[in-house]
Amino acid sequence: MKSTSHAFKQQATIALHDERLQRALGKAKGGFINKRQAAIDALPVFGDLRKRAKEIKNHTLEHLDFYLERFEQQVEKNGGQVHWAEKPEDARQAIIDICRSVDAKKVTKGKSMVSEEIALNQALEEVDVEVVETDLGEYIIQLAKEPPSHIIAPAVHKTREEISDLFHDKHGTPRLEEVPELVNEARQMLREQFISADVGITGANFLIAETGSTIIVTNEGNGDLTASLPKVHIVITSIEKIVPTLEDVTTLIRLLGRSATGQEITSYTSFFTGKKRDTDIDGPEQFHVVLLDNGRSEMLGNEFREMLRCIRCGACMNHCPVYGSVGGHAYGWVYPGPMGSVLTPLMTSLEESSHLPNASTFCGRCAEVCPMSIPLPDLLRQHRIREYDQGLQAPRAKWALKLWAFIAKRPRLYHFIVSKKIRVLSWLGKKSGRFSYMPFATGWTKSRDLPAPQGETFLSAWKKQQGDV
Amino acid sequence: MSKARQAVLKNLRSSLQRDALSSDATAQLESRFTQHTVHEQPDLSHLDLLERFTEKLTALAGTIESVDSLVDVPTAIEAFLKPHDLVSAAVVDKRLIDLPWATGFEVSCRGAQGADKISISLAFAGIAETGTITLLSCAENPVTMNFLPDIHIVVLHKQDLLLHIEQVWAKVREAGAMPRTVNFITGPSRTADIEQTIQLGAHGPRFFHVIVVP
Repeated sequence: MKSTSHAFKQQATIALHDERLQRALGKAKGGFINKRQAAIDALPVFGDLRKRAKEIKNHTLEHLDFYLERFEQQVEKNGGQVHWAEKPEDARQAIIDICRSVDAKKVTKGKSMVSEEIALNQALEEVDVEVVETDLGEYIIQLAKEPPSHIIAPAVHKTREEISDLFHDKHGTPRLEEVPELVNEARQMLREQFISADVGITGANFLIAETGSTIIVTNEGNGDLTASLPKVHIVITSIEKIVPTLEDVTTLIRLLGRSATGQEITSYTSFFTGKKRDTDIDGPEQFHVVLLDNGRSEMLGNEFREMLRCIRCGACMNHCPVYGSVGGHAYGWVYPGPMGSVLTPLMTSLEESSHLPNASTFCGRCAEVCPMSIPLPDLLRQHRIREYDQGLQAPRAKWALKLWAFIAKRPRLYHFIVSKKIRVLSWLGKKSGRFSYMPFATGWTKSRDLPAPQGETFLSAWKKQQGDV
Repeated sequence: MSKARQAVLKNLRSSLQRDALSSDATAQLESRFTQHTVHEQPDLSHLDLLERFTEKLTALAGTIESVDSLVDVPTAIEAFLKPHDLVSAAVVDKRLIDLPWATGFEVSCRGAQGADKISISLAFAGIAETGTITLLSCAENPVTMNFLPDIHIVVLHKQDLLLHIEQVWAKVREAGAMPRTVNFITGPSRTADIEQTIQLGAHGPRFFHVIVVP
């Protein structure tokens, strides 16, 4: 997907004025937050699990080469094949080659954010392979020709009315209004697709080195039908998803569902290990795992290593005041919210997406709710440092910062200017005690008044008070 | 060795500021694969297994009943299916084929197909922690049985009901290696993709029923 992150400001403004989007976001917000809290309150050991999870992932990252090689051995032992991909184009090519080798006409897909990262659907369509998204949310946005706006709830920006219109329009069926009817219609439409597909592509929530298994955590059952019915199962995933053992992944599974949707466990948690066994009656005859790097191996060696612990639960965006106001599309690329604002500059470029790390109040809720204890605000700050070092800031911001630094480094000058300014402002605002308009601060005064200063600076008041004692 | 594989491993090692691990170091890491260390778990020690399992499964819209013996399973299934009109055929786990199925109730052992309405599986294990049924793909219970039919019925032997998820891994290792698929199933298929409204019967079964036998 082509990034539009450079247009974040305009996109955010449009989003803020989009009534339907605001309605959809309003409905989503409380749900995610309350359900997560209830699930965590019901599990006293959650804090210990979180510490353990961090330790498991840190250990894995420290030995990532070892665990990936072990994973590869195990996949091969079970009749599967691993395809390493340094860049998105390598991963796309590997998948296209597999599809061609079996003369695939139709591919069904389970939900995969890595497939969005490599723009897989478009690449397959360009070589005349029909792609059918089967997760209901993904199916909805595929019909609408839109990218996902949330990593676990891709159609969270759509209201029921919009989905009614969309199904009516694309399916050519009578307009349905109720959720059960809409879900049932999608079920009927996709049944035939599952059965007739030549290749099934899923993502993976985790990979296990011990057994060579790939795991998906789902509720609908579409991922399992995608993985089990076609003759070929391809898993598109990335190198940081690996954990050493079945016991290790169990700890992470206990955190994932609770953090994402407040579920202790999802309807389906499925472990795929290799191709169908000789005695099996069904299941795929070929099993391929495409392992994408796309900058992750570099992150392992720089200040962004901690981001590789991310298990893609979406809690950071569910709790982010910025995401909650503008939704996922405004961010302009695959991963939205705080985790996306860390990843997008690394996977596209900081120049393209420098608004994202700046679109944060650093309120810290994302880090607080992250089950993997990723210090997201610190990582966003690292991007701001890089932005400054690379001279990517807007000229006005640069000029203003320089002026500020010049004054702030000279205490006498600073106090002189501030005390004068405060005196003037307090005189100007004497009458009402506040300003409803202020040059250079219209961003503030457009939505609320700025209180007028009370006549002197803190320092001079302090001096006076010290004198009184 | 592919070029991409070499490049990724080289980048990883350069980021980790070391070469490939020595055999001493890998031997130490290998021990993690044999020790099977269980990490922190939810404390469930004071709970009755079946009670906990029932509570968790029914909270996720699964249904459950107990029967006195395995031969009572067909009668229980007949009663369960009564409200679902016109269903008189099922795909059945090979290990259950010899049960006294009613005449007129057609049972077959094969992979499930799009038109199949009912499947009847034998559970590998139940997990009380989460109300979950574990099924392994095998010749007796092909994986399609777990997802294609509208109604999925699972027979669970009480001695296969375990407390924590990790106990399933011990049981899988005891039984041999990982099969092609291990499925953890907790209730019927569901989605919340339309306005976060939970709707059952997304793509998998609409009904998930467990029958516990002694």
